[in-house]
Amino acid sequence: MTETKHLSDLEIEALLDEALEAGAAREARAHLAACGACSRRTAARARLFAALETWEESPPSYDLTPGIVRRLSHRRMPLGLSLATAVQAGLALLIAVLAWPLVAPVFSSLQIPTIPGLELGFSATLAAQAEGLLLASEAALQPLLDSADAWLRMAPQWMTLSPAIVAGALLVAVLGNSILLAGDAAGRRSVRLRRL
Amino acid sequence: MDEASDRLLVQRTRGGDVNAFGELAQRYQTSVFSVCYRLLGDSAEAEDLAQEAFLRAFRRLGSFDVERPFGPWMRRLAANLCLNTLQQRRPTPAELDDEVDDVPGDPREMPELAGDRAEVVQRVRSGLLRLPDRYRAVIELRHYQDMSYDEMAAALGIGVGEVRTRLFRARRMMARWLTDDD
Repeated sequence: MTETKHLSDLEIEALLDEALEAGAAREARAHLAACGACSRRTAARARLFAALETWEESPPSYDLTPGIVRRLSHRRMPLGLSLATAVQAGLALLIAVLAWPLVAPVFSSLQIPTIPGLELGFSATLAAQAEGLLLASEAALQPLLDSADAWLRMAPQWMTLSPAIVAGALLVAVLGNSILLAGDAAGRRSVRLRRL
Repeated sequence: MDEASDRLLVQRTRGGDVNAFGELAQRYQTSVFSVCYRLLGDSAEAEDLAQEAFLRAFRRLGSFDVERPFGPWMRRLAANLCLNTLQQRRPTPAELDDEVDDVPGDPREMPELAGDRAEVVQRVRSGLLRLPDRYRAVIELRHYQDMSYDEMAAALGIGVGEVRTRLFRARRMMARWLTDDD
């Protein structure tokens, strides 16, 4: 940049915006020191910049805070998440109901050993507990086998329908989780501005 | 604003205290509303967007670096939200070209600003609101959000050269309106 070549408007604005490279900025300032015309143009633009700074902030016509707090209080959990949670809970309940014929006999026949009297020593108490657990396991095993046998003898339509329902429920649960994860990932993604 | 107490409010919000965030909203609602108003040019729409900006900020507070000041982060988030809104009502390129060509005067000259300070303040306000959206956006990001050309280019999805050009045109229009005797 020489003294005879004037600064362009874009150069002047870039200088005021502090967007010129260090070397170019030095040259521009040196030129301004020697060129009255460019100095006046730069001063005029600086006045415009200063005028833009005069924007006076005014508050909104009403206090936004109560509405913000109210909406946050009512929506602690995202709506999509709460709906998905309800669906998943329903599916879990359905699976539990379908599986109940298999596990019900186990619960009903399970015998919890009673705690012997405190007059026995620690090792004797431990031995009695272990024996009780073994007996309970044996007792539990038999109904389980009986239950499996009963399942096999159930009506053919139940045997064919139940696995299909359970498989369907599991599939929906997996899909639901996938949607949840995808939604969460989208929520965390930063806002990319589209071309304006 | 007191950055230390802002930081405390952010931490309380992260701990589940919604009222602490309400206090942050109370502190920054005027500056956030101003950002939205300057960009959108409509006070009712600006109030809606300002509220939405705070709700978004609440959801993203987990990713906010508490060592940085809350105010600029909040205002930038509001600006991003408004720019996305503006993008949806973008005028056609032909309309924009007409708007630019309508500005008379030698672009190499920028006369003295007319009137006293109060009048300048009024003219700045009305002039900014008259600018086409894309020019108002660059004025907002440069003069009120203090972004560099590179940051503006990234935010708007355009090149740095386009940022310079839009800034130049926007300022030329503002200068014309500020110095106009009408």
